[in-house]
Amino acid sequence: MTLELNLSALWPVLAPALAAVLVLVLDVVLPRAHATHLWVAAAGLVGGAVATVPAIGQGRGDSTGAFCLPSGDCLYAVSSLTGGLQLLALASALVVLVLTWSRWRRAARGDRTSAPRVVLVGLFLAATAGVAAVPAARDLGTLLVALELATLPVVGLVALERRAHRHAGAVAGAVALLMTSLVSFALLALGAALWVAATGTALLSPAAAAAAAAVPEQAALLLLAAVFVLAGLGFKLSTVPFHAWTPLTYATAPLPVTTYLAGTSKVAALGGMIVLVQTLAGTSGFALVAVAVLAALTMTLGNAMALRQTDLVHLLAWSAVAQAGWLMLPLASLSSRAVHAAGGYLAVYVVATVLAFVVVTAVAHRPGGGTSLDDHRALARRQPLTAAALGFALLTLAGLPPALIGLVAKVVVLRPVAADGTWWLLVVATLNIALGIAVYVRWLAALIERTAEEQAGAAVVAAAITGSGEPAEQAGSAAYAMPWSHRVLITALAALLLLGSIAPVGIF
Amino acid sequence: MSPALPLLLAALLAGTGTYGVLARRHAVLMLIGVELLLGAAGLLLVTVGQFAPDPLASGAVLTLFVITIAAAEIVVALAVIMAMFRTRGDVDLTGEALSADEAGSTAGGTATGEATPAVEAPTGDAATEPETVAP
Amino acid sequence: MNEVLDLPWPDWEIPRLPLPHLPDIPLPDLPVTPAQVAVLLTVVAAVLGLAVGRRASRPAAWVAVLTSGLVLATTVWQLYVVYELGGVQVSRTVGALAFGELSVPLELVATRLSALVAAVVALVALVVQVFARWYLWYDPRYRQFSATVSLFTAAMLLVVLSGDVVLTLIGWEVMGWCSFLLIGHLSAKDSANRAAVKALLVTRLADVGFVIGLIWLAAGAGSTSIERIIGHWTGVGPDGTATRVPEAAQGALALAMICVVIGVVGKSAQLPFQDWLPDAMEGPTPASALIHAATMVAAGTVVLAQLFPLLQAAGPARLLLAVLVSVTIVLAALLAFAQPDLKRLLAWSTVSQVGLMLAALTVVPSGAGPDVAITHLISHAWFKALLFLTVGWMGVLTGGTVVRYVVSSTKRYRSLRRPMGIGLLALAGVPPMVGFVSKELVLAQAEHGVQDGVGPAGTIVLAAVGASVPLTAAYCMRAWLILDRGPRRAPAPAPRRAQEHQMIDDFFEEPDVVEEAIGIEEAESAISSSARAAVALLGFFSVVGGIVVFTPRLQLDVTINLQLLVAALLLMALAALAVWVVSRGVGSRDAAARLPMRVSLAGERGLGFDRLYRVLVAGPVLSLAHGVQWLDREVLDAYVRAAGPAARLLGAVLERTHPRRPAPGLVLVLGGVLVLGLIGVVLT
Repeated sequence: MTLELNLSALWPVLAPALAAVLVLVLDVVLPRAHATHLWVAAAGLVGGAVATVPAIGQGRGDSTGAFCLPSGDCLYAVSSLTGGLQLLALASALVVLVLTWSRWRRAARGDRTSAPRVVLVGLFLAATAGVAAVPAARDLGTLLVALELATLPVVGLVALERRAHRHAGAVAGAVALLMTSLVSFALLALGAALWVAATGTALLSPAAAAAAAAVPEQAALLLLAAVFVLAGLGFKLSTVPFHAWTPLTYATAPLPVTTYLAGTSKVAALGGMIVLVQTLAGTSGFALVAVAVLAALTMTLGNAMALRQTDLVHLLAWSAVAQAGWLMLPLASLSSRAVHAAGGYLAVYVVATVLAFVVVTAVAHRPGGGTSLDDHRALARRQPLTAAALGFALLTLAGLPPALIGLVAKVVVLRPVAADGTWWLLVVATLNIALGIAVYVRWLAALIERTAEEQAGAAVVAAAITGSGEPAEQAGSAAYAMPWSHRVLITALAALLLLGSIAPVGIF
Repeated sequence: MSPALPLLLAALLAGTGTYGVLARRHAVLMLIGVELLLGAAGLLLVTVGQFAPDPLASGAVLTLFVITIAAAEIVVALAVIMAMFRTRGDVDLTGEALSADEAGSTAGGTATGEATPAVEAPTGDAATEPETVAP
Repeated sequence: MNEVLDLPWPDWEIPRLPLPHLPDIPLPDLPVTPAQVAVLLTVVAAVLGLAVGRRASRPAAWVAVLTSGLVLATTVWQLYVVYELGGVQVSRTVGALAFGELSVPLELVATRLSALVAAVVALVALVVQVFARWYLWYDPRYRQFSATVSLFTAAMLLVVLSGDVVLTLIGWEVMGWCSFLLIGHLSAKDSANRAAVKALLVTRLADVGFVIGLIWLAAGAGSTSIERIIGHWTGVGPDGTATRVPEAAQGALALAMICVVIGVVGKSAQLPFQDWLPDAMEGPTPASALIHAATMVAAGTVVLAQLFPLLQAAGPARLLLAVLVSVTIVLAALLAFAQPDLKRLLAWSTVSQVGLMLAALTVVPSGAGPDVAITHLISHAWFKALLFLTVGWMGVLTGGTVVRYVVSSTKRYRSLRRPMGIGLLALAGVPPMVGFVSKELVLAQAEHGVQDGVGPAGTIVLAAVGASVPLTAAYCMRAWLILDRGPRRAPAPAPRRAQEHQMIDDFFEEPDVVEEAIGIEEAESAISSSARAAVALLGFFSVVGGIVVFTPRLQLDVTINLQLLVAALLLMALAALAVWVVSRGVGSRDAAARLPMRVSLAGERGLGFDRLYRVLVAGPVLSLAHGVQWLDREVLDAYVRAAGPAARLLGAVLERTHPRRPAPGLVLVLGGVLVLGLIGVVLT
């Protein structure tokens, strides 16, 4: 039996993987290079992103396949939606790389505060390769491998935090993530086994699923298999009840790794779910009520908890949980339109969340900065452009004008639900819109607050300590200029959101 | 032979594995529980592959996949458990994930954690991190 | 005795004077019709009047008076055009609106009657604008006043010339609003504000019926064009063929017309909506002259005249109208007698006279048109405006219009004597004034109607009209007696001259003569010449206006019963005599001073209708409003306000149950899988 390889379709996955190998090889060959590994990594990511463009340009329904069997099924197939998700994953990974560019440079000799940075870059690239492979998986083996490839290196990234005061916390976060991912993989494996039992093949083919759904006993098995696979994927998306690790790990991991977890990892999770839903779409009489219940619970819990947080990373963690509910919302109706809606919402969510994390990182890196809500008070006065970008991202997540793209994304996601007529879900979603607005506007209100006397007080203290004769505010701002990487990232992401708000055309 | 026996065994393994995951405090024992679950999955796959033959031999192939991935998983898991032991001194999963001051440093101290503070003297061994200066 | 009464009193046919053959002025083929020009011009005048002259009132005055003159010329032109065309002239406004099944042509229609009324409205508006220029010379808000008057004129012309119920409604509403603005012109006065609000609310309440009625009619006919509505509801097709109107439609027509009648009754200040008109005298006198004498209160008559065939066909509506106006006629005339303020007397008189107009609409025998009512409308416009303007002039001279101030003012200011006299004579209906002509026509038509059998309405109306003749004469006589009271001092003996003959120069030294001359000089120097000319013009029309009856402009199919005519004149004379007798011995010659105090006070307060309005309408509505507000605030808002604390509570509960250790997290994972699996499998 011959397998048609068609490696050219695999470039989005191969490029980061090859880059990972290359980085490790280069580490051996060129031990003194400071930033070569970063440039190689960037090249790999950019190359992979460029390779997704032909796939996106395909028409709806077309797909390019790799590893194709003679019977026509491919083990790896890229449609335009898949290409878009891959591009999203690679681009968000690139953003994270730029964010940690300075941190992941080669350390000076004798610096023992961080693991060998090359290893981090290698892990990062491997995880990204896995994330890129998940949406294109068309059989269970590929899916399992890609998912684990996307999960395990991230555990390593979280745990490899060598600054003394954060090390213990990071390990605790890594343990939480690890335990949850292990159990989830076990569930995934069980689900895969049940799937093979139900359909008789490991290929995720809609025809086989439809045939299995026709027979009542096999339909029950198929349903159970779907539930287990969803449970296996759920932790990555931070849905209830698989969300317990999220606040802990997000808070204890280094901020760029948290950004990766909140952005790129979600693409893998939703990509896997989309693969599952697309396989089951079209099987009549099949209702994944579980998905609807999950979505409703997740949204509500995430928003309710986010309302109580004063630390912004915790807030963003719970916001990620709530948004996971929104991401799952359209999947309750098994249709391809719903799948495209979920993909579109994912794109908007990733861009907005990554932008929020970038701004939080930028503010935390300032001298005297941190990640609590108090550090962001009156940010609009001190750093108006940054605050504006953050405000726009928050409005997008809340779904309020003038961030039209957020509003359109929410509408697009609600449409399949409305079309199906599950009105209880609609009611819950509407309530959660209100809760979500409360969550984000709380942050936004802190941004545009006036706290002049606090400003003056802090400035006086800072002037006394730094001992400079200039006015304290000028001293503060003159001594610290935002790194170019932060500036570029904030501008680029904000521009993307703005462009989307002006012309929210065809999100997938 | 009927598939009932292997399936029963798989169910038994899954049950034991679940018990192991839920009821054990030691991290390594919890890992063993996970392995049992994976074993159940593998057994299930093999059984199914045997009784419903497939031209692609999906059952057997997937079992190999699962075993391989489980191995990779265990490597990472044990490494993390080692790190956990080194930082905390025990591998009790039912203990508080963060101790009190760790929680404090996480919640409020991410402030001082992320930025090199301008007002504190730099810690002894660390040279000033290059990230604080704009590249 | 019987023989006297058996003498054949001839019935007198009204002769027709042929109009002189007007030169055939070639009608220029303009793209605009005079109706469009008239309405448009007044609207432009209103806007322009507000825009020009921020600092001085002269530009606004020029705009107002000039455009009023132009509008008068336009309406005269319209009269000529309609005469030449011999029928109606239809003009478009903004074009037909597309409302699906309902056709809304929005046309202006000028018939011979409406063109005549429009001309009279324009004339009165011009006179009022000229007068107001003098009356409000020092008023800093003159600009707003004149602009509002222009807007009001536009609205009235729209109502008169409209061929579409939508335009009627628009004009009706704008008139109500302008009346509110004009009554409350002296916005610093609390009483003026209250009166304005009262007028607005009372007429608004009645307007509900008006709107419902008109919409019902239009909906039934499938068109808002008045012609089509009439055609539909009376069963006459567009080509003149008569079809039978089904019984259900008859009932619907009656109900719709009752609603319209309610609206008309409100705007025309008839029972039970009559109490706003006397209070509306708080506005400046020119406003009262225009709105509450000549135009707005008569707008109801105009609308009913336009819908006349429908009124004829709806018996119950006619009966309701007849009953209401009959009671009002008598009641208002009685109340007018008891008023201590001259303006309020005139206001109650207006209520009574408007009732006469409306009564004339209810007793028309079949086959005749609403011409008699229009005649009375025109004549009332003339003499009532004359009276109001003269009273305004008098108020400026005497410092007020209460009896105490105006006593013997026509004796003191002789210039006031003629316009006042003419006005009061016309109001009382003394020949040959126009008031006499129109009142006799109403009386004759009522009598004909009863003879021709228009139903119980006819008898009631005849009784009321008959009773109004002596009552009107009574309060006119009372007013005249007060105004023309002679000087109180004993006549001084004429100074003896040295010589026996009196030289002609001595004439100018006699105290009476000197006093009179001073009075005339004061009166004439107080007023501007143009205002005086305007008053004189109205006086002229009050005297000779009766000639219009004899022209073919009005098609009056009545024959005057000479018996009735003489009886009426006799009654008037007797009433006047009675009042004179009663007033003897009263210092101010005020016959109403002989009324007991309680009656007098009750009459002054309008028999307590104000309190009735408050208790019956204002009170319940305000309670309802409070109740709704309470409901919204305490019941509905409570849910909204509870959302915040509820969310916080949920968050607190969830935070308490959040697993912080890895092991419970795993319990959650596996437990969750179990539950989901159960949901999934069980619910399939």
